[in-house]
Amino acid sequence: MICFVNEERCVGCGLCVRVCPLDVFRMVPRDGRRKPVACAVYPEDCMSCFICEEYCPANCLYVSPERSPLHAVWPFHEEIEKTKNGGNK
Amino acid sequence: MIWRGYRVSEWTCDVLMIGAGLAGLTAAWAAAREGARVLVACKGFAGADGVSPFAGGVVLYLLPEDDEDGFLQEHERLNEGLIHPEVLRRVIRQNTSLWQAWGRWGAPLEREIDGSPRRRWLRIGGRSHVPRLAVDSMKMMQFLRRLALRSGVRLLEQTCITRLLQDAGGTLVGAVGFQRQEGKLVIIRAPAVVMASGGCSWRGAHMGQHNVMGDGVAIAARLGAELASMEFCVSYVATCSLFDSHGQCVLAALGGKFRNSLGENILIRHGLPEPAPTHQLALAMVLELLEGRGPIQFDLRGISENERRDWEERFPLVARGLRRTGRDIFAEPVPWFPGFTGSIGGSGGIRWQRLGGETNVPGLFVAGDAAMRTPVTGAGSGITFLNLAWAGVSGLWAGLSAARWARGYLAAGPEWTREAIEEGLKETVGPLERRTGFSSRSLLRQLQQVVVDPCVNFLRTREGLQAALSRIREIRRETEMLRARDWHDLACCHEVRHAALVAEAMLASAVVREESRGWHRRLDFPNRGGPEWEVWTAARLRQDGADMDFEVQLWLPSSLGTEPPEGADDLLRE
Repeated sequence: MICFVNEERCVGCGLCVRVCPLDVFRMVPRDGRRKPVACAVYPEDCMSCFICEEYCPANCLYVSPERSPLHAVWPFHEEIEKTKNGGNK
Repeated sequence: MIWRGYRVSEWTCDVLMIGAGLAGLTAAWAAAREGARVLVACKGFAGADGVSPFAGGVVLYLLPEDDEDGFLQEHERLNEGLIHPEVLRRVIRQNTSLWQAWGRWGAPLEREIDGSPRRRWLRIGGRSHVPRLAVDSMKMMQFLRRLALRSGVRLLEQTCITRLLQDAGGTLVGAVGFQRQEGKLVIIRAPAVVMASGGCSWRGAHMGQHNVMGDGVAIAARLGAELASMEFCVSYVATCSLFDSHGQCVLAALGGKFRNSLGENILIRHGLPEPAPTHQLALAMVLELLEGRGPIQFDLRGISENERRDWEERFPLVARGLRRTGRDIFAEPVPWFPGFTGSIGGSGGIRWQRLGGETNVPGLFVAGDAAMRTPVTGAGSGITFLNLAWAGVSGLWAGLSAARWARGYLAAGPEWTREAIEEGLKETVGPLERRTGFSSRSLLRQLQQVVVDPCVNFLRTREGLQAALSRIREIRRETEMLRARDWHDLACCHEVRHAALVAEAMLASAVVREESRGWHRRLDFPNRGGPEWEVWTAARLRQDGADMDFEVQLWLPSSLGTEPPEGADDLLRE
């Protein structure tokens, strides 16, 4: 559940900040850039819903499909983690 | 305005809509068309908020020539009772005219060559044939956003509402909250509020639902609103272990098979129909895993190329995620597991008394997943086709009745006291001002540990439920000592606080229902009860000195008003 931002391509429109249902992004200033660029400042809250990608006009966001490891409170979490990496055998 | 160093923005409207999913935006549009000044406050972006953008785009579409009685009987049987046939009939009919109107106004539906909405049939959730529309959910939400904006609705986005305000007589007068990105407080003066803020997922392992944390349900309960059928707030949907995916019920309807590690079809093993109602499938999966026959594989190799393409069009975001994992779930069986979805697929929520969404709090209306859905979906799941129908129709009706309530009330003008606002704002910023306290993340984990345990929410016993309830009460008290790192975390703190209260209502109601049906499975009462259990529960928060608890009572479906607000069809005729 990590979101990669290609800062080179970001046009600084701030749409990702507005649309993210979990408030993952902020616009942050960067050296050499006229406008602040998008940054996933709360990546641990990302739920891989792809809404930011859908809206980004510059196509500079990439949401990883990887499910972050289920926390130990989850029933069957060990089994699920095993199947994720070990294939379906 | 500045309050104790915080920036505060003040708003005034006739109807405040909390939440901007399918129900909220429909209600906003309807209220605006009825002449109300409408403000929508939502945590995300109106048009990409709530669970609606991920809802799979399969909407029930029953025409007058269809066998309505047959559909109702089958639905009642599969969802194990507690349905109110009269209410369901009205919802189904209103849903058809609503989608017909949206179709005329350019909604992104799959269409026939002549432009009319195309109907397809699907054997979803064990039903023989459900006539349905195919909708692009994400584009549909954008369409509803445009519709609302064109009717003059104002939007207050990335804004969390934390408390509703009442006047001395108990009538609703407004709400307070905060805008999490700008870091400022919000005071809204409104004589009518429509709560359309969704269900409670407890951040379950499922796509697109981490933002619904029972906010509206908890805020309404704190105000004295009753919560109905909360024992059914524990749904699971099968989800892919590679990626939080949804759309399982459609894949199963197309011929997908669930197999355990012995290669057995688990539905056949448990004597269930294929495809099975979601709650029966979920129970079978949980039992297979608990008894050590996991992992469970979902075999989709029998699905044709055409059906696969159709599914990918209905679930474009899931399809994208799955493609990126580099595995082809249609070519090789992949492990799936029961993903917890809380009340999203269950039927509990704020109790309404009439079809306009009127609650026991004057001025408070409910719609969508935040509202009790038992009259429509009974003890089981509405799956996507009925839940979307309920969201749209309840939104339409609640929007209309809230606008009328506001019009009747405005003559007197809402009165509020400075103290009520002060108290609300203090509660809102509480976690920001605490120097020490629990972190939202650690309390969320503790909350999940109780709520997500299958023995607490699926294989229930009186002792297990009561132990869980006392643990949840401890956690709920600890949520009053949360500490927020920043405004972003402040939203998480309030979410955990709300989700803990919803969990308490859920467990308190589950203790009372001494039978098993739908999502509510009691090991100590394994069978479905007799006619004496054809009743619904209502949980009401009771202040008990410094502490509080839920008092649960039973009530009869016959006390429900079944007349929808007038004029809905006129609105749709344009």
